Amino acid sequence: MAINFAALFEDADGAMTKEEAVYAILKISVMINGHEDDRERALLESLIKGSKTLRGSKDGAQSAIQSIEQRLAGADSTETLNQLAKDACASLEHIGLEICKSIFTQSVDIMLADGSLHPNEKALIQILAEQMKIPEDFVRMVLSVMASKNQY
Amino acid sequence: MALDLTELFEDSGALGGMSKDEAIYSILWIAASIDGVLDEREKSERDFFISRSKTLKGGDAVEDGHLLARLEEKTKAWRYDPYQFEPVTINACASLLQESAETCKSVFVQAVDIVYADDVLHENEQRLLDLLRKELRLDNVFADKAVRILDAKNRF
Repeated sequence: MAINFAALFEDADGAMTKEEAVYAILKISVMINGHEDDRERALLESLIKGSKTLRGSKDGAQSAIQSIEQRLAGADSTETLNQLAKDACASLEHIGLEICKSIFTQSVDIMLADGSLHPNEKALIQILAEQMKIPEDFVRMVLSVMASKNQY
Repeated sequence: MALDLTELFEDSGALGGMSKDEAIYSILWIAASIDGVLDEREKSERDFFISRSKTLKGGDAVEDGHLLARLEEKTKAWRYDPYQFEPVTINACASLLQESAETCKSVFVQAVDIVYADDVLHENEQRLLDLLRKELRLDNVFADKAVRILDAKNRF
């Protein structure tokens, strides 16, 4: 009998590849406020195009993107998106703090791209910071710099 | 006889004289080009800022779609001449100082994001950031913070 590893790991946090985790966090950052703002979507596309992690993978991360899009298609509530974000954070945390800081910053950049912060976005920022154990002073700096960047 | 104010202004040696749109467009364009190579990631970042900037999208002129074309036309005189980058930057900064400190901070952060997009800090890019920091009269604590955060953002 073949073991279905995906089913066995379903209840455990993490288990995403680095590319899947990065794409999941960035895409959830666009979706979490309930609608996909044009500016947030444009920034996501620009970040994907420039991402060293996604560009560096064999197929340009196409399989990772497809796998996450499939999981997101079934995500019908904020709670489901937040849980998926927690899984992604658990996977990235294993890799190291530097990548966590980088993806956290990219995610905040997306969420502030439309010039406002929805309560769901605020909650997601807190989840990402806590789950990836981002130092508080770094979180404070990111919010201040990204708010300034997206002001004009 | 009609006065050519642009020419008179240029000859006077006074700084500034750009509109807010023109100043922002010029700084972002220079940030992407100053290392001598228009890297795809820097270009993508620059085009993204220009296309979605609240300032560049917010003016009346953009509603008829001519603002960006007009800015592109105005910058033709210097955009392929690296020797012009410094005086244009100084003029753009002097013009932005007439706006607000918040605008200056925002444009500085956008320029840092472009410069760090290819993960290589060329010496000309470092000079540009130093010049922007000085000419926009930015608080050093804020400028240092911006560089640190954008460097972290563009690493992965």
